[in-house]
Amino acid sequence: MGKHLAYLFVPVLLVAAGVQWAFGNPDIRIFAFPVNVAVLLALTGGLYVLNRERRNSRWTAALASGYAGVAAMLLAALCCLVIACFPACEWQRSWVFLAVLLLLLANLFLAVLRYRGRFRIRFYLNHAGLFLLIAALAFGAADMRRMRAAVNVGESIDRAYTEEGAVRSLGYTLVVEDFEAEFYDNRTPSDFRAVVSVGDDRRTIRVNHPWHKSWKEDVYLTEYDTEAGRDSAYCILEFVVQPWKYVALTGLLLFMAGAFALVWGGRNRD
Amino acid sequence: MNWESFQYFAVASMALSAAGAGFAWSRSGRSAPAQWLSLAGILVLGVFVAGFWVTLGRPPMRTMGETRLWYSLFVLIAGLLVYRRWSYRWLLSFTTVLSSVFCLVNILQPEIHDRTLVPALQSVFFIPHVTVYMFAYGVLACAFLLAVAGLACKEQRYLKPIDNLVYIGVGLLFVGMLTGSIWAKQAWGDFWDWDPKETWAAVTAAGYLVYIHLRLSGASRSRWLYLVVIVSFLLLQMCWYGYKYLPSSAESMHLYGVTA
Repeated sequence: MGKHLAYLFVPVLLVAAGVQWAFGNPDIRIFAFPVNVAVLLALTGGLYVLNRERRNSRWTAALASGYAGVAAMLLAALCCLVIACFPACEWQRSWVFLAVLLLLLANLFLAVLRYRGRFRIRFYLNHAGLFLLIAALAFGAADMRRMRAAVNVGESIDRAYTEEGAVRSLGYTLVVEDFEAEFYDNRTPSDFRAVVSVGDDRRTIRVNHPWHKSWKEDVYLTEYDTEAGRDSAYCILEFVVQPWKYVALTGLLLFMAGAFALVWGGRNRD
Repeated sequence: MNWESFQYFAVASMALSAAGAGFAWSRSGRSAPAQWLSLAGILVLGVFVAGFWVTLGRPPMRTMGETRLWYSLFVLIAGLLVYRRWSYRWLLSFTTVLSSVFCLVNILQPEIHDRTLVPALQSVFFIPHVTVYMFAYGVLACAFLLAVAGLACKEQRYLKPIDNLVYIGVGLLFVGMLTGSIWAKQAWGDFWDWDPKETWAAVTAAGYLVYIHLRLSGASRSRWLYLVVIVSFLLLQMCWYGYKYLPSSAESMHLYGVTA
C-alpha cells in the first residue's frame, strides 16, 4: 500500500513543484468558469470510470484508502503551516497546494464511491460534505470577485474597484440614502448602518447583515469615516460576487450534520 | 459580578474541585463524594459566568480572559464526565490543575471591565461558535492528559477513552469551525479567508483527523498515536492563543483590538 501511495503522490507533487519553480504562483483567473467546472468534471468522471473499470486494482485501492487520506491531510497541514508562518508567499495559491487539494479531493471522492462499512450516513455526510466544501472554495475562488467603493451619503454609484484596482460596472445603480452610527462611551462603535436602494428596492445594511442582492451577489457595509464618527459623509461598500456560494453552503451543512453525528455516535459504536 | 469578585468564586471552585480530586485519588473505583464536590466546583464557576454575563450585558466571550473563563469551566465539566464514564482516579486532579491554572492567570492578570461588543461580534453565531469551541478544547484537553498518561505508562488501555474524547472533541471542533465559516460569510464576505486563526484551526483539525484515520486503519503503534494526540493539542494551543505571538497575526481579523 505504501509503495503504491508513494508512486501516486510523489510524481504529482514533483510535477507541481517543478511548475511552481518554473512559473511561480498561477494567476487564479485562468481557472475561472468554464475551466474550473471542466477540471472538476474531468477529475470526478475520471475517478468514477477508474473505480468502475479498475475497482480491484491496488492503485485504486491505495488512492481511496485511509492512508491516502492521512497522507493528503498531513501534506495539507504542512501547506497550512507555511501559509500561517509566511503569509506573504500566498502559498494557498501555489501549484503545490493545488496538487495537494486535488489528491485530497480524489481520495474523498473515491472513499465516498467505495465505502460499504458501518455508519454509512455519517461517513457520507462527512466525506461528501468536505469534498463539496473544498471543491467549491478552491475551484470557486477563480470565479469570486470582490469590489469596493466609497460612496457619499445621498449619492449613487454604478461601478466599483476590484482587488486589482480595475474599475468594473455593477450592472445597476445603488444609492446610499442614509448613514447612522452609534458608539459606546469609550468611542468604540456599537453599531453602524446604511440605508441603500436600487430602484424601488430599499434595504438597511450593517455588519453581519449584508444585502443578499442576488443568488450570487451580496453587498456589505464595511467602513466609514472613523474620524467623523456618526457624522461620516461617506461609507465604504463591498460587493462580493461568489457564484459557488450555495455549493459551498451545501457542503458545509452536510459536513456540519456529519460533525453532529460524530459527537452523537462517538467511536464506541463503530 | 465582575473581575473583582472573580477571585472568591475561583478560589471556592478550585477548593471544591481539589477536594473532589482528593476523594477520587483516595478511592478505587468511582467515588460519589468526588463527583458531588467536583459538581459543586463546576456550579460555583458556572454561577460566576452567568452573573458576569448579566453584569456585562453581553456574553463574556470577547477577550482572552473571558474565553479562559469558559475553558476553566468546560475542562472541569469534561473531566467530571470522563471520570463518571471511565473512573480514572487521577483524571480529576489534572483537570483541576488545568482549570486552576487558567483561573489563576485571570486572577493575576485581571482585565479592564469592558462592556463593549464591536459590531462584528454582534451575531447569532457568536455564542454557539465560542462555547462549542471552548467545550471542544476542554474535551480535547482530557484526551491530551490521557495521551500523556498512556505515553508515560506505555500502555494501550488509554486509547479507547481517547477515541471517544477525540470523536466528540473533533465533532465539536468542526461544528465551531463551520458555524464560524457561515458567520465569516455574513460578516466578511467569504467562508474562508486564510486568516492566521483559521489556518491554525485547519492544521489542528488535520492533526486530529490523522489520529482518527490512523486508529481506524488499526496499524499504528500506540506510542505514535499518543504523540499525534499530544501534537494536535499543542497545535490547538496555537489556534487558540499562540498564533497571536507570531508576526503574521498582525493582520488577523480575529483580534478585535484586544490582546490581554
